[in-house]
Amino acid sequence: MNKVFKALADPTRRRVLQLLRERPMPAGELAEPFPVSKPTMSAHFAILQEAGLVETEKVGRSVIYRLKMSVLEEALLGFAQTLGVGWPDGLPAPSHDPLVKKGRP
Amino acid sequence: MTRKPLSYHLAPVTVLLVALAAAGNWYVQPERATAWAIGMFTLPVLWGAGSLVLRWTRRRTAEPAAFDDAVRSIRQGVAFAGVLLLISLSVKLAAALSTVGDPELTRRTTNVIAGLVLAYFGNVLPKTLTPLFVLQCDGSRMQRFQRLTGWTWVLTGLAYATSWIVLPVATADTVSMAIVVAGMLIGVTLFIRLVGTRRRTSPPSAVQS
Repeated sequence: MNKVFKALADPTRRRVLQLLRERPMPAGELAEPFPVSKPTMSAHFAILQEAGLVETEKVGRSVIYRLKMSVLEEALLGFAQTLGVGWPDGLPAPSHDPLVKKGRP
Repeated sequence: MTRKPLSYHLAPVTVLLVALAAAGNWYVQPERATAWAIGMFTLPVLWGAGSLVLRWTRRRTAEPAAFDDAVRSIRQGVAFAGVLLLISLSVKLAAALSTVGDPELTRRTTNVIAGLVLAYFGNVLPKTLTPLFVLQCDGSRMQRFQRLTGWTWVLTGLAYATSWIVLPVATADTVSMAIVVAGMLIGVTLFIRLVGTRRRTSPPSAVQS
């Protein structure tokens, strides 16, 4: 459970999970909205995978990421998102959201 | 050496405790011997049969990891069923020995457990993923179906358990049934919607919504 809390503590990883809630996505498409380097995104993906919140599947030549969250984990994600866990002090959460910067709510 | 999970040790302990609780009930209420015998021997027999089947299949498969997973899965199942049986038998024994005042406690406890089991399976439902290449519809629809069904069963189970905790027995009987029927209707509606979309759409790519 510690791994789940650790995974949910970071806003970028929570955003990844929110994107995956819409549909399974290839790694490249999933990383695209985030203004961080590929190795950083890979580290985020690895933490999510280690926590058992996402699963990868090879389809053709692409690696597809799929959400693998229980109802409880999804509820925890909602709580963490509502409370803004992991946002830097003094910075309003929405403006820090990389997807909001790119115009994607 | 890898550390064994709690369920590895929990399984034999719960089987033993279930046997003891069933023996206690048998001693106090010998007229229901068949029920206590079933309670006492079901888990060991099923566990033994499962292990025998696994040993038989092990000779035919060259994947030790899959074998270990299957053994772990059986032990977890035995532990889970054992805990449920143990609670139920213990409450029955306590009621038979008149150590609890409420004569309806056994019924309440059994139904609360049933509600929690429902919630547990609803909780893990979205985690059971079918490989994308096997799916007959696109991944996003199946994912949405599993998430909504999971939430439905978790809320249904919790509401069911809560109704048996807080309401008078006669009222809880009706209310809990209404809750389960409502949950089933929602589940069936979600399933019909999923099947409907599968029929309407041509085989889509696995990742598109």
